[in-house]
Amino acid sequence: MLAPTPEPPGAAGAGRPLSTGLRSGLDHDAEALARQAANARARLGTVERDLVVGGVTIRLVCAGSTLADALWTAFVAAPTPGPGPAPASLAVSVGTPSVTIELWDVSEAGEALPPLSVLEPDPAHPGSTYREDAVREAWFQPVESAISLIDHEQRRGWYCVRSTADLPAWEAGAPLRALLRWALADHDLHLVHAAGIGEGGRDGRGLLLTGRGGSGKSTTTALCTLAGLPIVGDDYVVLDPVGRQVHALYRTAKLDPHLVAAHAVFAAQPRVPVGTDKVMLLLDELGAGCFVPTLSIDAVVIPQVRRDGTAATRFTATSAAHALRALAPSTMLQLPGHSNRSLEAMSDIAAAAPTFEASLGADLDAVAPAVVSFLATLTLTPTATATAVVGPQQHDG
Amino acid sequence: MGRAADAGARFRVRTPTVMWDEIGGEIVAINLSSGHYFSLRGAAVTSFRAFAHGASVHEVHTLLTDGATPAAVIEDDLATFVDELVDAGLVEAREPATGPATGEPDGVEPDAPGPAASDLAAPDAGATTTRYEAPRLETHTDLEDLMLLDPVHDVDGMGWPRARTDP
Repeated sequence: MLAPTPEPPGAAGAGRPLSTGLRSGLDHDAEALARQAANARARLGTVERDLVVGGVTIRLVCAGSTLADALWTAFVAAPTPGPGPAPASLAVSVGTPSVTIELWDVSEAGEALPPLSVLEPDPAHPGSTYREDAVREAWFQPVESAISLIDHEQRRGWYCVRSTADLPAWEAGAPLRALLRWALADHDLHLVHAAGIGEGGRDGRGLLLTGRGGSGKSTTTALCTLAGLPIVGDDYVVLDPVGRQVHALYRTAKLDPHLVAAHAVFAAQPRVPVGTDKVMLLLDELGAGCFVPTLSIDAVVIPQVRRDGTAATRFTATSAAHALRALAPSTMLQLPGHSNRSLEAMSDIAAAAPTFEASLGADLDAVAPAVVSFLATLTLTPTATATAVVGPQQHDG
Repeated sequence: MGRAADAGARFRVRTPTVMWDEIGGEIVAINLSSGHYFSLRGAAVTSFRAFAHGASVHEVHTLLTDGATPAAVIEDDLATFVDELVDAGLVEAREPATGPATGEPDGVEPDAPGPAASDLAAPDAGATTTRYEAPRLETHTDLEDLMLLDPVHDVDGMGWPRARTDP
């Protein structure tokens, strides 16, 4: 049976503004972090990597290899500077980076942090500290001991951790979420808590799977990956509300340990060595060549695990508001600094695409065929819209 | 009338802590501070949207009136709804208005896109009903665990705040 998987702590206090007229302190924070990053680079050398998401290039410059080794496993394959061909499935040209993010492990660099405003505790929002001013955003995650700061004007970002060894699994499995969210939002691209799967080849149709942890989203994604369906990600993907597309960013999937133990096909897969509290698999190793950079969003699907022992997986039309409730809160509560545009982007997708619930049956082997059957139905109704797809439409797995 | 809702009271949506959007005739609202999110339908959409645009309790009462339901019933329902909105942290009282009792109040800035306050009485598909129904707030708390984290205090030798370990 399917079971919930843990979720990372969220962004308490997200969107909280500073009092008008007060210095944010983020100008000082940015200067201090830039100096520390430069010192770390000088001491440890650098490792670089480019992420290309929806045509936007984000350059990661890491001081030393320790942190880079821990974090970069999670990112989908992308062209990197230097010789050698890019993977065919993600063969996009790397241009001038839209933003450059510098990373370092503070303990490895050996230089203590200066006082930073983003580190000051806020009794009103103890879970984490989010700060913003006119051109900068910053987030301190106490559990991860990680600091993220972006200067939108300079197009520079900084990310440092107290110790790579102490990073929890969720951070290594989906790193730099805040910085990437902020950087991509400048291009009207939105990091959301959802999965993206598809069918029919690399230009085929796609589904945005959304729902809180434990809904069966990751299990559905993993099963579809095993079945060879195109995929753009499991836990976090990038939404393009204008193009009605979803872009790949991370290649990791979090699965319930009981599910993995119960199914040999999962148990045999290599795991990301980032923690012991959950099982994190690499989706592109579950299904060779499955990763695609982009899928269209032809429907928004909310998985729900059936608890009644029914084997079949069924799809039933639901409201756009239901889809937005499944997508927006879990996204906005886990990532800091959302604007009205973030919610509008998710709302646009939920309103534009037909929306369904997927009741996941106990027969896991039937889930991927049910998805394929459902996608074929969407293909047969290419003009499907939220109003044209009148429910309930059910497709047995 | 509830504690938060005398007839002239006006409210503002607690942005940016609260974000909301209207989709398919429903409003989805999220309180980023509490981790709760909310569904509003029917008369609740009409009422919330009107409050967001600066309408008073009296003006919203007028919007909900169907000619058949006793005014006292609507008044009680609206007071309950306002209390729910306030308790949920979605809205807070504005300073007492000095402007006219109807129309766009002085000094009131709309909190959200949508019709101007002066247009609130106009029928709006999916929101205004011909048959009275009480406005209700549907609260979802299943994500609040995302917000419950230990506070931080003190710093270690490398300048990092430490998570509190004492009970």
